[in-house]
Amino acid sequence: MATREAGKKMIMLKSPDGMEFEVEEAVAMESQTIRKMIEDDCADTAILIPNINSKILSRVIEYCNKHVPTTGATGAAASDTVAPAALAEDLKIWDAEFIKVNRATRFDLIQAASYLNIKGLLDLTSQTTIDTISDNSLEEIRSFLSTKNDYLPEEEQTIRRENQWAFQ
Amino acid sequence: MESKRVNIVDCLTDDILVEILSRVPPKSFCRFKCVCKAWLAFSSDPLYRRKLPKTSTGLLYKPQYGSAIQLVGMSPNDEEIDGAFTFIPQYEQLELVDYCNGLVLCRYKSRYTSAETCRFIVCNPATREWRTLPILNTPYGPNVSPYTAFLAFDPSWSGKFYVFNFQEKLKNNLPLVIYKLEVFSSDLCEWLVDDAWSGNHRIMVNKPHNFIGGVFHVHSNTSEILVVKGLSSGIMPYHYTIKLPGDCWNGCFSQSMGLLQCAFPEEGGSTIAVFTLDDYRPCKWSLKHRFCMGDAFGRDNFLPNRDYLSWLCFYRIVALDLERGVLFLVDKESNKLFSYKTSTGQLSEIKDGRLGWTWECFYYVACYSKLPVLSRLCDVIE
Repeated sequence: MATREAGKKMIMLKSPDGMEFEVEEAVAMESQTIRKMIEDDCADTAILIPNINSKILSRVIEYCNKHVPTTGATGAAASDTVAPAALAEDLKIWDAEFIKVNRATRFDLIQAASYLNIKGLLDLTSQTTIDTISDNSLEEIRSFLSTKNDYLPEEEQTIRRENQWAFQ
Repeated sequence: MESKRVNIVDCLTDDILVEILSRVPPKSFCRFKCVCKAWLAFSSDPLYRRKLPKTSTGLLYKPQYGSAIQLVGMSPNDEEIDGAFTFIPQYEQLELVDYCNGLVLCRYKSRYTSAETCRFIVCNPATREWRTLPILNTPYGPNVSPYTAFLAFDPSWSGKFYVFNFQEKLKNNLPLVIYKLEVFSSDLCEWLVDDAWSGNHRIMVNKPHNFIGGVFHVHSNTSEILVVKGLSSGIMPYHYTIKLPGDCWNGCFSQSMGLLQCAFPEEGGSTIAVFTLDDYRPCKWSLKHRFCMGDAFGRDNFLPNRDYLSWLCFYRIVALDLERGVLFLVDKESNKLFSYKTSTGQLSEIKDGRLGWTWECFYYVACYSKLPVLSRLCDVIE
């Protein structure tokens, strides 16, 4: 681990509730939004991440830490000993555990993944949401997403008729 | 705490909802459109539409005589589509005649079917609905062409469909010219006939054609489009011609935002031009794109740019879909099908895509709506 730490550039991330997180640059750059800031030299001191509270930000960092590629000079040893397929399987299990959160936290994670542009996390959170609702009735979906049915009865009848095949 | 959660959920922005919805299969997505108006609106929003589940697309053709019709799928969620039409009895005996906005026109022809008898079938492989049309008897002989039929259906215009059959014959030593038009309309369920077709028009061999908003366009004579419009119950449509922006040999018609588009090879095939028809009378075309094909094919020995040689171009454009940024081409030497990405200029051979005895090949975009005009009168083929 010592070699991993040595010579690594660190980045400070600040949540709006005042918490600071020091993370490796490579981990922070899992977020395309932060990568862009670093590449544009907008990240000298600390980067303020608006709209993402410390609880969610710490979970996002946890995700990035796990998913930062281990290839390259420092990670060579790790990928030599573990087959890529096994690594991927391991990550899948880890992801499944990671996403076992309540609905509100999951939605916060989706928002964060979208704002920070972390594709893997966005895929994971969105797909989990889809898997939850795909077999549900329209009424269940509406209540899960707190969406109101704003169709007039006759409008709903028409739209349902047009898409009848999808209910079959 | 509970009220805060509700707030958080209410904050799911449209961007994020679309992000989530982009991951559902097309069928679930169509069901989800019924959740609320905003979700329905996503699918017509130009910004979001690109991300949302894609309608199944593919190329439809009949690989060889006597075999079933084949659909080479282009999208991952094609399992709903029965591209071999196995839902129709004796589907191996179907000839592929035409395609239009999700519906397919076939002709049923067994060994016992006489050459004059046209039994047309219109079907939707996505919903597995089909119906037969009243038998049409067409003349047969040395001086007349076999049937030249087209399907006209545009769900955004009307739930009805029409079938046009142009009959051509030799006239005054001219090549085959149209002398009669037969029109089938799905609401009347009968063929109307115009015996007194005016003008010397013929349908070109590869017959690029398109039907948009109630107007039918087909490549006629050398550099003209025959426009047929004024379709309404029990009345024969009228027709006139407009000039093409160039020589449309080896080209195709398509549509974008309700306007007719015409794509054709230029300079012996080294470029493909795409024009849009902005106005009919007077006819006004504007050049939208010009794609360079030299790099794509990895060759620079295109034919010299001579109008009379343009039919020799070694490829033919099968279809153009600018919404999905793709052109489909067939290499006339090998009969292989290729797709060309307009954004990257990349040409890829389509796996299993090879035309056999026929050149008929249609770009298919699924239409999932159940159509009352198809569920009626599903006759059994005797």
